[in-house]
Amino acid sequence: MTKQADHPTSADLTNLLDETLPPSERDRIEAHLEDCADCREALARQGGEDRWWNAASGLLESPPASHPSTDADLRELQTVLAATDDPRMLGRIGSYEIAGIVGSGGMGIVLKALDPALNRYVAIKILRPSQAGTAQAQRRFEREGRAAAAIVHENVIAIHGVAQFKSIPYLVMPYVRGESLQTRIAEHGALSLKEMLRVGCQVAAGLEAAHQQGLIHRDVKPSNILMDEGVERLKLTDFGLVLTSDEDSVTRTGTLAGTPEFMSPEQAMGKSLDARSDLFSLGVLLWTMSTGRPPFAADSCYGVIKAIVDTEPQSVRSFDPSLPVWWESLIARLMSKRPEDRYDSAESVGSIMRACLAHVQDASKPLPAELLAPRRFFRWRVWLLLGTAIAFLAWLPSMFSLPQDVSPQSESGDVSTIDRPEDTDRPEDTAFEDDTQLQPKGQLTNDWDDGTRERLDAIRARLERFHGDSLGP
Amino acid sequence: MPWQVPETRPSILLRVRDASDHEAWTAFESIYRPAIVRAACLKGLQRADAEDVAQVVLSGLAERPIGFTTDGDARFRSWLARVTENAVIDRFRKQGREANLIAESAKDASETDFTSCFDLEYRREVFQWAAKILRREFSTDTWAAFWNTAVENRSVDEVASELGRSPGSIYSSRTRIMRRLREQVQHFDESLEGEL
Repeated sequence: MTKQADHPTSADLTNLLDETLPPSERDRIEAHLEDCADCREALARQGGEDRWWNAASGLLESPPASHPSTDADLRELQTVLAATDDPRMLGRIGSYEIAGIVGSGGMGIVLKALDPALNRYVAIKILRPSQAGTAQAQRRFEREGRAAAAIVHENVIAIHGVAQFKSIPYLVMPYVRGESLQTRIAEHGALSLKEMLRVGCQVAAGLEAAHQQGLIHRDVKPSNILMDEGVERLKLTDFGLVLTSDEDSVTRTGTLAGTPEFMSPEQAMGKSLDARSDLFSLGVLLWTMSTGRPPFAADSCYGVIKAIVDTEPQSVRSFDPSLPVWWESLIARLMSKRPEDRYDSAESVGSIMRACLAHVQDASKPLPAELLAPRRFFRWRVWLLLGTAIAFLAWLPSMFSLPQDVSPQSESGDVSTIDRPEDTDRPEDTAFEDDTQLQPKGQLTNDWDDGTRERLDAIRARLERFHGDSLGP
Repeated sequence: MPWQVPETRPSILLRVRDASDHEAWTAFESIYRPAIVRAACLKGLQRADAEDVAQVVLSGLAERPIGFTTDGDARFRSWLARVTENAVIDRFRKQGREANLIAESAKDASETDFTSCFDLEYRREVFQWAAKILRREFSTDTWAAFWNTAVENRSVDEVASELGRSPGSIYSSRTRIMRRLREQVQHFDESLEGEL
């Protein structure tokens, strides 16, 4: 009997696929699926009838047209490369001898190349030949290259030059031997507080330099942070390559980023951005370093975007209770859904984090004032005080009235005033709960939540235009 | 009250009949060209000739816009198959007498033979196209959960332990992808479902 009651309904299964269930409920249903063949079948049918599963298996297996993506990159590249005399090299771009492919994104391919004039290795980022057909892509690539070249800062990768080869633009940068922060996190998990502060200070400093040039990075994430010599000297890369003001920027960013896990809510929704978008991403970066995994995880790109827009990240202290409360409030403030609730500039974040680092290294140094009195706590206390006062005032007249009037009045007064602080203080949380319980969107009061669903649908439609190279995992 | 037209997104196969819809054309070409090439190869054409045939058919379509009609995708596609088959036979004719004989015998063998061969290649291309798009929408793990169990038919438990996930999450992840795959395939050609 109780077993029967445990079966998820058809709507539950749909919600499971939509990624709209609270984690506990999702885990419960997934555990149930392991034991219940009937529910597995019901779920599979929501994916498609048997003929769909069979077709997928038959038509996708050993895809004749698919190949490893580096092969595809290489083939694409070979349409451009000039012949070289050096048998160890793939070919030539201008005077640079190309040694290999280091990485690739939707818009560009990164190559390791030898600069024969200076006999040193450089990294060359070249616009994908398949993208080079559009004058817009070319102009954008070159414009961003020039903008990034204007930033001279020790925490920003230098641009040696911007040039064209067979009318395809490319950038020349120093070749950084070290691993990326992404590799570091993947291999060693969370970083220590001191290391995180060092990373944070340098990233903030690099962003500050960019913002002063009017450039928004838009793609702050661990794989774009190169570690030359451990965490002591970081270089922010991929500067501004995704910076555009046109509508297409969301898809472009998505193509380059692969997943939008580090995007700000305004960026995920394709709204207009300012420098504070990078501050949100910096917050996500700090969160990721604190826990070893990004805060907004979901199966699909769409799910990640939805999580960024709708949900508050879990507390980093629930992963590691030894992290200080002030660290958590620093991250929470950076990751505010509304840009105006974040810090006002990379400069102020940088100076706060430098003071934090000093405090961590020497406990006699004070924490910055911003972190000593967390705003939320403060506001919460004000509300509580106000609430108590109202409750008291509501209760006061009942002192003088008949006894039977007392209890209902005082109870209702208490309930409403005690509930109030939490409700008013954290509207984002309310939005999160509403959504996970799949209540109608109309109940949301958050002004920036208006039209979210439509925007997500639009983003999803645009994501459909993505083209990958290989199918297998 | 104003009359409300229900919002529907026409399939790409429907949209491609409007020659100015570049997005639809790009998708259409990326699916249709390899399908023609492979079907033509299976009928005995050399690869280079098959590629020429594809070029002839596609440029023919681009030059003579088919017009935006409300015919079903199925009807449009069988028309495409006929156009393609004629182009293949034309090619054989041009290649001379010996090849001509092969072509005639191939044609005699069965009128539906080429169509079914072309349809299979076409379906394969549509699924591959959809999968390529989806590949970017889902995390690597999720894709691996789908690919390893649904396409390569490996056991769920084995794949789950390989990915460090619960078997239950493999069921939900792969179904999530299957549902999107179906949606994407139908986005290209709504009539395909009836023929699987």
